[in-house]
This record gives sequence, structure tokens and C-alpha cells, in this order.
Amino acid sequence: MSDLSALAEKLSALAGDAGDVFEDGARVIANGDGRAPVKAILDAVDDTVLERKLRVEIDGKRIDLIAAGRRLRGILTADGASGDDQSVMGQVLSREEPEVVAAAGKMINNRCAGAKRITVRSLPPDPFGVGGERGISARGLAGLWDVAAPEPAVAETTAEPAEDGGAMAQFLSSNAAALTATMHVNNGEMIKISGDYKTLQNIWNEQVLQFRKSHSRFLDPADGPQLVCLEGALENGDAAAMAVDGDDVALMAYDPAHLDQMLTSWRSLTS
Amino acid sequence: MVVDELDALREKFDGCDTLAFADLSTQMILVTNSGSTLRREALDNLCAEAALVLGSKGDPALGQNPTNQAIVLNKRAARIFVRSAAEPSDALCCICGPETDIAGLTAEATACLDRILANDA
Repeated sequence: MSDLSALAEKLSALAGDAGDVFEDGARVIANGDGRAPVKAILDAVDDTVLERKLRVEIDGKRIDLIAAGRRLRGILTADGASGDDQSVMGQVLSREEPEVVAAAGKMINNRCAGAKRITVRSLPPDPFGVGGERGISARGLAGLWDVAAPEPAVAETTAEPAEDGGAMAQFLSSNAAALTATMHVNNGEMIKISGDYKTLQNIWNEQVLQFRKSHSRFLDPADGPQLVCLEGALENGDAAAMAVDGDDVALMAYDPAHLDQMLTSWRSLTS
Repeated sequence: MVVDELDALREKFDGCDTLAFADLSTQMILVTNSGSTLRREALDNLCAEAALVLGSKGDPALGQNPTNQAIVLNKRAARIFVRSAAEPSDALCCICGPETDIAGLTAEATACLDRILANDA
């Protein structure tokens, strides 16, 4: 056994719970006992520090994940993968490719639906992607896939701020009922997408950079965060809005009936 | 008179500083409320911002369609731009404090613009 493998096993054992149940050397992480299966898998990713292949078996069907640094780098293989699932295999997860991230989440979610038993085994990693591509943290995926985030260790709460914290996240959260789609990007990295985001993604790709550049001549840095609301800007009748707070940018589609509520919320969070 | 309409609207809303009737096709402010202290350069900027956020010549700067109503809100001020559906080159630009009833002012500004154009016809 290599030094790295030994260290990985020791770290895994240290992270383990005294109440863990093992079955043929694999740890049982969900047992039809009401524990959310996707969250259980993300918890396993969150427990993985050194690069490992996590062999997840869902009622006997296998998915091999590559995880490192408490991040999911991607899906290596999956039993019976076809169609859309096949397109995810071997792809490094990146917030810049939300379709791949969403497809991976959908695949795992579909396989977990109604699962009676899920086990995970930590194995030496297989070659995957390019060294510099880190994947997405378990907590980040919990946000992107709309599952409860792994619970942070006490020390981590202060050492690493939540990826989706801050005024922008609060604004999006408190106005969720008004928003039909959102894209939240921080410093160029996708933090969260929700709803039918395809239209927003096109707007982002084709217009946002130019709009911000053109609009910047009318903005004073002392004005602080900006919210721009455009009624009827989308073909389905929804309004569009863009919020900018430093490195945080959100593009939103919203029901115009909620405009007043959104303005009030923005004022209270940014003034 | 256009200025009377603008003054009357300004009186209705606390925190409303400037109301300006604009021609987006030439990007010129034609009339402001009588109490406005904005200098010409600031008025030109206001009109240029209106043309940008509302979109011009059928092309939206942001979104799939040009909009007839845009709001830019920050901690110091709100700028409201409304465009006439009947006369897409005519718009009303408003500057107010962030605590102003923005949704109310936007609705009243749209009605005010309609009245101005009706009286002008």
C-alpha cells in the first residue's frame, strides 16, 4: 500500500463516525431510513481530502466518482449509463459548464430515487481530467442541486466562508417566490442557477459584459451595489433584472407583480 | 404645458428631484421640471442612460425585448425611465431618493408621459 493510500484510509477512518455500518468493506451511507441519498453521497465527497475514487453502489448499481479536496471532480463511470448520462462521464465538473453539472446532478438524483441501500468504498484514484481542474465542492453542489448542504465541521465554519453567503445570496433567497430563474456568479464563477436559466445564460453570454461596460459610464463607485430592473424584457412576459455588488453579479427573471417587494429588499440589504 | 405636468408629478412624491422629458432618437432632454438643478452634462448623461437601459431601434441592451420601463436603484438614488408605447422615441426620466415610492412614481410617470403626448398631439 502506498503512503498516500495509507494516509487516505487513516483520514477516512478519522472522519468516520463510530456508528458507521460496513458491508463487505463498503460503508453504508443510506439504508432506506429516510436519510437523503444525494446528501449522503455529497457527505462522502465532503469527507474526502486526498484524491480518491469513491465507488458508490446504489441498490447494487455502481457509480465511480473522483473526489479530492472535499470536491467532486466528476463521474468516471456508471453502470448502465446511456444517452445524457454518457455525456457526463469523464467530464470535470465546472461552474462554467452548468449543463454538465445539472446533468450529473440529474443522473445521481435519478439513480437515488427510491434507493434502499447506498454504500461507498474509497479506492485509489484513476486518472481523470487535467490536474488543475478541481471540480466543485460538496457544499457548492448541494446548492446547485438543491439538496441540504453537508454540515460543516466547527473549525470550518470560520475558516471557510460559505460559497453562497452574502447580501446577494440573501436577496435571491428572500425573493425566491418572485424569481422564475436566476444565475448568481461571483468573480466569474457560477454560484447558483435555478429555474429555467437557459434564457438568462444566453443573455449572460451575449449581452451582460457589453451592458456592464456601457452602463459603467453612468455609475459612480460611491453609489455602491446596483439593481437594474427591466419590465417586459423577456419574451414570456417576465421582467429581467441584474444586480451587481462588487464581484457578485446576479441575473434574474421575475414576475413584475413583485417589483416593489424586490426594491424594498434590495434597499434593506445594501443601504 | 409639459413643465406643469412635470412639476405636478414631482410635488406628489417625496424625494423626487428631477423629471425630464426626453427624445431618445436625438438623445436630448427637451424639458425638465422647473426646480431641477441638474447641469446640461448631467442631463445629457441621464438621457444617454435612458437610451441604453430602455434599448433603442428595437434592440435591447439587456434582455430579449426592449423595455418600456427601467429602474436603476442604488443606495444613494433611484433613476426611473419610462418610454411611451405609442411614441417609442419619447421617454420620461426621473431621479429620486432611494426611499421614494419607486413603484408608485413609475406608474404615475407612465400616466404623465401619456398625458404629455396626448396634449401634444
